[in-house]
Amino acid sequence: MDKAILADSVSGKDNRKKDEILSPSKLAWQTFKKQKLGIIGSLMVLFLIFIALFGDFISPYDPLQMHTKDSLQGPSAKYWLGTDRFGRDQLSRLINGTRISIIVSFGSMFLAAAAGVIIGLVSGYYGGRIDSIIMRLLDVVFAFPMLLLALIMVAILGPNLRNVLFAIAFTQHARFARIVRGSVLSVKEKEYIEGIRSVGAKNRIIISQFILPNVISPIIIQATWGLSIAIMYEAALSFLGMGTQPPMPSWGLMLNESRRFMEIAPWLTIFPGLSIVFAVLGFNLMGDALRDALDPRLAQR
Amino acid sequence: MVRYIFARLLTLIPIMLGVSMLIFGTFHLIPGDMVDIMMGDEVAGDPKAAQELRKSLNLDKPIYIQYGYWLKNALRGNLGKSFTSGKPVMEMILSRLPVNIELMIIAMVFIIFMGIPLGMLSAYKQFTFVDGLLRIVTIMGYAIPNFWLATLVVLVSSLYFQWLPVLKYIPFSEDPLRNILYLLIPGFVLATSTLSYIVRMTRSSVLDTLRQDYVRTARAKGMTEKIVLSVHVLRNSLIPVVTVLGFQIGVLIGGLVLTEHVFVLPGVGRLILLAIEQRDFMIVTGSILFLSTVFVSLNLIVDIIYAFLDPRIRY
Amino acid sequence: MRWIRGWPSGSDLYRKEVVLMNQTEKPILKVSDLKTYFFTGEGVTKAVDGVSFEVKKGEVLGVVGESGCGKSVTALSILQLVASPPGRIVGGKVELMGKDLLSLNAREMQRIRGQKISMIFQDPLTCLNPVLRVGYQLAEVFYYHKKLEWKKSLAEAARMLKVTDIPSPEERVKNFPHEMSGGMRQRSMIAMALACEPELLIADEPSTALDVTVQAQVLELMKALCRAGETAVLLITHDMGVIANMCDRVAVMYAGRIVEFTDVFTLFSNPAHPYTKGLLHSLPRLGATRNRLESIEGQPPQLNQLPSGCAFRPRCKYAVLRCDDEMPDATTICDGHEIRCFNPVNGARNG
Repeated sequence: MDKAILADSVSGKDNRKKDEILSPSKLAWQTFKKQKLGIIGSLMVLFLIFIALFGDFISPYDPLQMHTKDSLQGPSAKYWLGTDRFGRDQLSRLINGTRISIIVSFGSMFLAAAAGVIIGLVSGYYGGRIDSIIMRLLDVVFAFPMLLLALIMVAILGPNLRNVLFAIAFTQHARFARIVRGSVLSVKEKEYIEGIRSVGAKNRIIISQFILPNVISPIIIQATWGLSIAIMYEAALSFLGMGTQPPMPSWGLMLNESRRFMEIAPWLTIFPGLSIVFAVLGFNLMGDALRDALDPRLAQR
Repeated sequence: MVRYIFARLLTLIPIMLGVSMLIFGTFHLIPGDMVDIMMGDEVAGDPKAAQELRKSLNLDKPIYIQYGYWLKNALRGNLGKSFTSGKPVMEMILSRLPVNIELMIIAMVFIIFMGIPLGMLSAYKQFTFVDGLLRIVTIMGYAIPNFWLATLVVLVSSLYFQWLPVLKYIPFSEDPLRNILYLLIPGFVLATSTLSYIVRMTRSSVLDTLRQDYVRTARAKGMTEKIVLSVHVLRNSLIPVVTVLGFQIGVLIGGLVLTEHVFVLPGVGRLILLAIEQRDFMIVTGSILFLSTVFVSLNLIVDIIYAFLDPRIRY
Repeated sequence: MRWIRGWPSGSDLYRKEVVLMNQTEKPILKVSDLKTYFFTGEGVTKAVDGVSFEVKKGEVLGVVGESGCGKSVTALSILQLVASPPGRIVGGKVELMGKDLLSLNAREMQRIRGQKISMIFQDPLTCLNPVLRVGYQLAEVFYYHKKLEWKKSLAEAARMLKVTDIPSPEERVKNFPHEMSGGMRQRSMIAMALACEPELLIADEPSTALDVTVQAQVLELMKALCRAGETAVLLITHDMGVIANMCDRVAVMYAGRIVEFTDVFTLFSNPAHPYTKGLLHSLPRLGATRNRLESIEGQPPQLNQLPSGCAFRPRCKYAVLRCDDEMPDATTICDGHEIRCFNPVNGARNG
């Protein structure tokens, strides 16, 4: 059986468009394209990834290098976005900071999604007592305000980038687990699963061929939103001094450092903040567009 | 309905147990010997003092007994004593709590009485300029980190609007009116991202509801538009919004920490931050346990409101 | 109960009488050349394209056709409930006892809805507000239209539930929709619609979402109540069996137009339009010896891509050359029997 058609029948989409039979991925791509905001968001994200990858070649100066003679200068031809109190070029630091944001966000989301998928699959598929126990444990994770949970973890484990990554992953994995579990449960109920089982299909096959394809879209959507959340929270933790430590050029940390000389050097506050907004906005827009494209219920809007 | 509340209360117990266990667990994950950290450099190496301290903190007993004592004390309101100041943690929390309560209330007022109406307006005026403008503003608003906004507010006010009372705080007992007034700006900054989100949620929920068959039935019965909106649409559209509010309260509580940090307000958030800096884990664990309990309780209230709105889930 | 799917029994003298009696009376509702189009990104969908009919006092007029032929949109247009950004009534007249409804403003139209013309819809579960009690939703009608006190309205609501055969109405009044069965919900809808004793009840597929056993009860109830209150009924359905048992006159719709219009007996015994003939032939009949169910070949057309000429041409077995070029106008074959066809079945023509 064609996986595309099967997956489509599960999501119940009407894929006829002027007598053309579209596979669900094609339909999703068409809807995605129509969303102009989504395009903008994706371009923003691609831009960020590009900078993260090739930042070293683009940045005019070494982000850590101090030009003490030129400290606290405003934006000029020499230093496009100005310098901080140590004379470090802000533009280079922002560029380098992009890499940190991307690494932390992608890393934490990857961990969270991986953990969430496994937990959700086990919980949803095997059901019963395992499911109840896991759901209770997830409820405990959900019972914490996110920042507080991340704070306590970083406070205990020590404030550095790696722990921020883990902390964010930990706070987000429960959401992935719940989504996956929901998806698994809804597919499990479908009658054709019973049919396939009665012909002797192994659990492994059922999971990989039927359940996983349906789980992928909500995961991607949640992961995209999660990326924006991760960037926001990494910045927040670094802002509080609980994340990246000096002299690393993470945006949140730069924002915190800017506060001391805020009044005489406002550019130090503005640009890191704008970068955060840019990144969060980009991932948000992309996530929204993906949801509109992949969620069958909203396809009619 | 009563049964529903009771059932929800019952589920609270295992959750709070789990929460307390998690917090207690992380407390014991601190690298290094706690007593050494607490004693600091001055008294390091004095075995007798160390032994006494250990005993008083029950650190010599097995872990589950320690947990038992800790939990028993916590339930009685005793969250231990601060390492640095020696004062009871609960007392420190409670003395700083009013600021947080006020901030939360101000933020919630903005969110509920500004966010929901704006969302409904946006939905009803779909395809018009107002809607477009609101959509852009809320998309941006959700992406702006509230700690950056707070910093900008402080920056702008100190540069151009020195008369704005941004970094000042007057306790309620001294002057209630000015106390609230000075908290309005921080409260609004705290609310910003949730406000944007609620406007969008309300908008999409109202749009969804407007398309429902029962709205058409109400119109077919000859009900005026005013009645259709206030009776048939309002309650139904609020249901998904209330669902979301529960989680947003958690975001707000986290935001409290950031907002207090920037606006230098004497709340529990700053207490936690200072305690982390000073490695005073008694305060840290006590405060986080306290705040989590508050969060879970608020969520319970939100769930009850939700059941009140939607009779389908009461049974 | 003579609920046999299929053909009207010849001994339904009462219906024949109603039909005869109403021949000369003025109609309650007169729809003239109604056009409702939907303007979307994919072109203009002519959902209703020149529909004209009359409903006489106390009669049951059936509108039958496949999904998407425009029957529901016609009904919604009468009450001006068509979703307005994409849809718009672009032409025609809808006259309720002489008054053109399309010329009324919003306030006046609100007074018509629920009082003079009521409508019930297909799925009673989604048509009732899930967070409000059924009694409340019923009492609303009394409170706002008849200006009764709230307590009195609730009492009237309970009375209406009793009238529609809902057991223990005083308790049911306090129920929420999800606590009732499908049949009870539809009865509540009927109660709501008939509360103010309207002149006309529009019923859009009222039985389709119900169990087969309940369908008959609900429809019979509706018919009995309407006869008693002298309420005319515009019954929309795709089920020929319902038409056979309920209706006095029938309009057959296809692609946004009425293609045949006559009384129910003539329709079943002497259908003139090829489409009607096809519909009737595809009904399974008890005792008939046929090997395959006949169906009408092809699919109903997309309403924004209508072919030139007669809309039914692609599926018609009796088509002639003229059918490719023009859409036929409505012509009268015999008394009260109109069709839109250049080549009617049995060669019936202007008599």
